[in-house]
Amino acid sequence: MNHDDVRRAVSERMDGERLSGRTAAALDRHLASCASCRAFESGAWRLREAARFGVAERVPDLVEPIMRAVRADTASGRRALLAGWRRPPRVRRLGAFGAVAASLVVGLVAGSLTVGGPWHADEQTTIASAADVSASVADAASRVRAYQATFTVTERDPAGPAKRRDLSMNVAFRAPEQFRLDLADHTPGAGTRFAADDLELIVNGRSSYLVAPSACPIGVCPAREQVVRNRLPFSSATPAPTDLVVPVSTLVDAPEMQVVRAGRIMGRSAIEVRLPFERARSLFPFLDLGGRWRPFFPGDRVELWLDARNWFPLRYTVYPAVGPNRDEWQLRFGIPDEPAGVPIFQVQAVSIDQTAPDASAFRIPHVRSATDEGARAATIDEIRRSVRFAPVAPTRVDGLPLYRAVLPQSEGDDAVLTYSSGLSWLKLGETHVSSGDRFFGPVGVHSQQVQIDGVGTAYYAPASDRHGRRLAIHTADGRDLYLETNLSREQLLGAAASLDVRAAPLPSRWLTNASPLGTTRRVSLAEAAAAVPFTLLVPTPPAGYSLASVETVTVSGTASVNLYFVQEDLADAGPLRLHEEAATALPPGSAPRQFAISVRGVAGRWSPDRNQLEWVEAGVYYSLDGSGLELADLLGVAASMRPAAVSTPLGSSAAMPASAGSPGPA
Amino acid sequence: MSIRRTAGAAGGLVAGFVAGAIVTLSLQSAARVPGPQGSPLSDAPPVPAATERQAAGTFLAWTPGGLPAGFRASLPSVPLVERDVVVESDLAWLTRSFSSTGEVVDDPPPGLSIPLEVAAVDPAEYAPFLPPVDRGVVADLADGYGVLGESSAELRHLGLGAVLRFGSVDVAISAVLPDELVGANELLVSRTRAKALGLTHDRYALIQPRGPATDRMIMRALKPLVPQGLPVQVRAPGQTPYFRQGDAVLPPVQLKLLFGEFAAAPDPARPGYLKIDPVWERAHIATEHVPILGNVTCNVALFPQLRGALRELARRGLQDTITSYSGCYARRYNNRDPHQAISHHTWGIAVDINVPQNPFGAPPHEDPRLVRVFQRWGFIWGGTFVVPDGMHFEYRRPPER
Repeated sequence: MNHDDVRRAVSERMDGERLSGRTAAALDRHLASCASCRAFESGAWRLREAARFGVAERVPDLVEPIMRAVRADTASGRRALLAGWRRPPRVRRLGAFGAVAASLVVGLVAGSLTVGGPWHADEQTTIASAADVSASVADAASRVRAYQATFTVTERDPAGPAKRRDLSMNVAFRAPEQFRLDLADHTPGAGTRFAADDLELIVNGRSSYLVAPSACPIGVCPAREQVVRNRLPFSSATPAPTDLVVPVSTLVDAPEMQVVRAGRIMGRSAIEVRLPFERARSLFPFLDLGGRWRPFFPGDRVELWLDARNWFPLRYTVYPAVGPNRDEWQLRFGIPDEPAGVPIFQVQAVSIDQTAPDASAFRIPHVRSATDEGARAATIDEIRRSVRFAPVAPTRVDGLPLYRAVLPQSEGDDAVLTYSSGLSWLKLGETHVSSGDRFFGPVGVHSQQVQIDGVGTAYYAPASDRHGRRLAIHTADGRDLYLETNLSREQLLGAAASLDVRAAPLPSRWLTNASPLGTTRRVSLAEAAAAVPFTLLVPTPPAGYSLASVETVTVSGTASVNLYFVQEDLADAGPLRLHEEAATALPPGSAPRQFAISVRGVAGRWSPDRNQLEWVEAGVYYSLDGSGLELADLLGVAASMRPAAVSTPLGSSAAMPASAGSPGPA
Repeated sequence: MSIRRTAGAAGGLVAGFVAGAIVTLSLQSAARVPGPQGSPLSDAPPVPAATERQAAGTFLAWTPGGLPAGFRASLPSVPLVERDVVVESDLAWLTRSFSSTGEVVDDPPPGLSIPLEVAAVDPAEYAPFLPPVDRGVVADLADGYGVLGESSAELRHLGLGAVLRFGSVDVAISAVLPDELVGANELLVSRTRAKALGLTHDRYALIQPRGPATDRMIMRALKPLVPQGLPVQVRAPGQTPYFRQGDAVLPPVQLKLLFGEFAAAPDPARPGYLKIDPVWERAHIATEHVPILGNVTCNVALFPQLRGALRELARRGLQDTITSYSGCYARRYNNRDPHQAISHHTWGIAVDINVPQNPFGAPPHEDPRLVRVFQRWGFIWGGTFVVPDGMHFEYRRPPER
């Protein structure tokens, strides 16, 4: 029997399957001599206990405290009691008092266990606020130098071929940019009946290696192998999913995070936080790396237990969300009804250790062909000679030292400086010859306008699944900069404030895209209100959203306005968009399904496949859409719409934060 | 044990039980947080009911092999047509791509490129077919930018600000739109930009009718625009997953997501055939033994469904419904015509069975029991295509459970 056979047999035995006498004997012989398979077996049992897939009352995780209490008890009173059973004379010596005392101890333990068990002293400590957790996570991330851990992973997929899958996951990290993730699928039938989601990801500074199953409909998916050379530092094309070590991208600036309670996991003081799946996506990097995983609804609930000392994830569990949107989503994916209290996915740490993994763990295997990402390492002098400018450098990067300077392969003459400590990093790209008509770097046209002390106007984009928090600055002396980081928004803005540059208004060609067919222009709310022949209505956005940008669109002579509301720190959720345009009727419907609905007292249209609500009111066509928002949310937003308060200059409107809109063209 | 001792032990047990429970409950309440901090995850006010389903106002029309010459010019003159846009679509060969931060993302092996299904529209004609909130995109298209479909962006891991290079032509990406708005094409550009990419074929049209109309009414109205005998296909929203030509089979971007994407090049030695990246071929294509057919060469991900279908045929005693097998994996264009799309046989996801009795274009003669078994296992039968291809069974969906 090899290790995989053994682990499969362990899983089968745990599932209650009868093993043949020969298999059972071979299994026990192997377990007796193989420490790693013994660790798998014990981890799997622990997971089985912790993640028993049935409706369970929400009780504190008290297995460890209980067992400690029981062990402590055993060490004192119960040992005497049990000894007494073996030595009747001693019982006789203790007499009636001994029997009563023993019964009292047994009763104490039984009573305690019946109501859920005792809390450890640590659990009575004050629970941190969400802001404290964010700050502590950010601080801890910059101090992690090395890490290695083993997890068990359980997936429950009623629509999948295995219904339930058991995997193990090893994670290794060495600062600044060595990372390894190994995932092994131990589900019975994996690799034969259906695809085993085994994958291996190694990031080693300038190179990366990935071997993972391709997607495929059913059966065994072929492995896809990819090597990347000359990788950009903290590349967005080949990222290292370091949130598995400390979830800094997930938890820093996470307004949706709820701090729930304290407890103990793996014998460690732990804190539980909750957040929606879409916010916790960085904790599930394997979903994007390859293989066939169950789908998750953006609003599914993730309960994440973190080590309260160093903020390592100890256990995270996904529970189905409740509501009509989730029901419809289930139908779309052919998933039977999933009760809200039953976990659908769980990752549980089995061991965590902060000793440095051996360097050989990060060795990139040799393969015939590799993708050249194109970054050339360079000194500042070499950059100066190559791109003919000395790159500007921030003086405040929260203690992160300069890590690497590179010249990317893209045609623009640009340079990238990177700073890193532990898991924290900040990247600064710069060019002097941005010939395009958009922001330089990965910052979109509807990014949020922010004011940076001493610098001026910059444009901010929240973190997404491929990018960190980003900021673009167009300077008065012809530089275009972008900063990207996994630090907090405040730290990013602080780093930008320490740059010796002065922002200039954006060139008009950046704000305006004019073609013979039409024009789009990023404007202030007041400008938008003046550009259309009707009273612009502005809603109160849902909690967590704020107005990021306003644009006027004129196509074929028809002027309209788009308002973009974004979640402050969640780019992947997509914006809430409001469109307003003079019209007397709804445009022809083109969505797969559309329903009549009353909006603000008039007849409207609801297109569930687009999450879009449309209506015509007083000669104006309105359209509201936003991924992740339910019909009730959109109706609530529609009901809140009021005439825009734009009589005073930009920034004074209650609905219009100072950060939104346009500073006007240069 | 005496009665006194038994009573004492029982009393101790009860007292201990009660004390243990009380102490534990008090400890638990000390540690319990009054309520979650931060905003609630969801607040669910009552939702008014969305009532009756509304009729669609947009239709798709296409003809096999591409729209005939003159169709686009004639369409506006059809009385029933209020607005229309004709979509051009062909292959373009991607030689490199860059992310918005300048990383090289696609870097095919020397001598090979990645075939992309690219569509082109006249932005002015296209505008009324976009939801008004997305209409700003047409100004970008008119300005030479490209738009990625959502699945294409997912496949490439590229988005806004990325650059796709086709030989000497660079297309910068200004937006990512849902697949349904770009006909599940991988890239959408303007017709002007498409000239530089070598696109030439009109494939389908989107139509907004003048007044209420049905698909049959539209079909009748379009018949005079096409040569006799060429069937016109018309669909309303919801009748097909994507508004595009050949809507019975999966679009190439979905095939790539499910079965892998290859780099390739036209084979100069065999017109109508392709050279495929040998690395992709090694990983995705295999020769395996299956019931009834013997050794077949297919995409490795197809074998479970193919075996399932063939085993079921054998189990039901229907093996004689297959009299010949003519192949699965074939590196070629549709009908070996380099002006057409890449055949789905190139992904190794379709088998040709009983070819002599079922030549391409002729009325199909497969045994209905054979067809039912293959359909149950997730294959679509070419006998249902507009131009019948009775020999052809192609992956369409996972098997029925």
